[in-house]
Amino acid sequence: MKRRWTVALYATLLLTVLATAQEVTLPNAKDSFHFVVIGDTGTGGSAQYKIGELMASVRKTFPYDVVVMMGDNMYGGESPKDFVQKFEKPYAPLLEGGVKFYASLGNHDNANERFYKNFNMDGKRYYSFKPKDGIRFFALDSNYMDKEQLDWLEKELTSSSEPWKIAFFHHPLYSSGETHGSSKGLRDVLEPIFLRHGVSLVLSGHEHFYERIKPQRGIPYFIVGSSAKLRRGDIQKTELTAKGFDTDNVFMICEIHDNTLAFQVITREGKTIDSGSVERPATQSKAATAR
Amino acid sequence: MRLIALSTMFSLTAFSICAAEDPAVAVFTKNVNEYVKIRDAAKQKSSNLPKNSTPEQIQRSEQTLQGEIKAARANAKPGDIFTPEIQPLFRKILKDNFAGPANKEARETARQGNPTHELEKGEAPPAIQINAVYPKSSPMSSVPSLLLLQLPKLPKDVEYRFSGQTLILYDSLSNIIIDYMKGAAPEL
Repeated sequence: MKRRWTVALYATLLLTVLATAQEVTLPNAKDSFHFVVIGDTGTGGSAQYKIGELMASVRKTFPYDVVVMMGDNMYGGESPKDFVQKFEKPYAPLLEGGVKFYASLGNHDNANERFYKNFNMDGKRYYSFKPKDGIRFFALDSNYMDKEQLDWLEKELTSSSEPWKIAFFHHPLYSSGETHGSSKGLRDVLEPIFLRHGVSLVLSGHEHFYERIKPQRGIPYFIVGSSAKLRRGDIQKTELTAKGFDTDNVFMICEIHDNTLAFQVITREGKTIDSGSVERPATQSKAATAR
Repeated sequence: MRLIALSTMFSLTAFSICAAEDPAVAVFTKNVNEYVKIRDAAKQKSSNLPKNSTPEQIQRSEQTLQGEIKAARANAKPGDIFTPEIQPLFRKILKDNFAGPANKEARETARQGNPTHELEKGEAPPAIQINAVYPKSSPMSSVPSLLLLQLPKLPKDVEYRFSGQTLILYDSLSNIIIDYMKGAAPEL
């Protein structure tokens, strides 16, 4: 009897340990680059805190040091107290662990967030950074895409020798959302630049759901706009969608290894609702090799 | 065809598109630059905000800038920069870019984040007044790229924004409404 209880106790303890570790299905290969994508986060609400907890939990088995933010980082006021409630507290374990958040500006963000130390925007509305050899991120301000920003983007992409060029900004160029939908005007100005310079991946938010768009002219697009906000039932049935999810909050974890980006999208309940991989298009790979 | 049109557009400078020879544009530009001088003088007193600021530093810097600018522009009134002479040009450019079925996408862009179109819980539209602080609890409208190419070029950290159909001249550093034109844009 005593032995049965002991076995049961150990089994329960084991299951508890397994249950608290968030399951990660990504390869976790040696020398790969890991990062996380969140969007439309700045509510200070329970969903944001829950997602923040899960992000910290994931980091135990899938270490990462970079989080990219798709904008709407702060809703409502932006007093010092708001920064604590809507950013520093929800992600406290990550900030304390040295994770760097790189923000882009959404339509609910004040431009002076660019000076906030924890958003790592270098004091600029748009900027680029290279977290690892071979990978460069380009954060854009999709609210105000003036000629100066477009010229900057052309120049940066021209001088970028990194095979992986990842653009992220608030308004999605392609979207099946009923409330907003595709930003066609922005697409007209950005897509040609992305195609011309071999951008590998585009990430956005603004829509309060998750959508993996079928590759458009070879470029994969993701919308991750439900890491705190959520608009249930907002995804319409369109030809664009490879996978859509609008019934719970999510964040996305990513791993880049050589020419492959693997991704996993995790809900507030810890469930995986999408996963897979995208390959950097072969033409880009050849171009990268030729440099 | 659209891509060719866009490429052609981008090869021109904003100035050449928006009737650079028009003396009203020169006056407009001069007036905006005069504002920037006031803002830059105010910046000297608040000191430049470092790129790794705390929220407290950001708030203090903004409040100092706002106080200095308001004091320096105590007598500013609507139309000091959007003068009666320049307004017809702005109205024409906005009508060309927003009116009619062909400009549906531009209108959609200007509705995004427009405080009379999109408000989240706890947000309210800004009070449109000279020297008023644009509240951080109000969203910011997007502005179509093609429109930005056609409007008179602005200095750094001075932007065009919309609240409803009102065109706002906005200082993104001090968060102040510099001037505005009510009903400048057609219905969005």
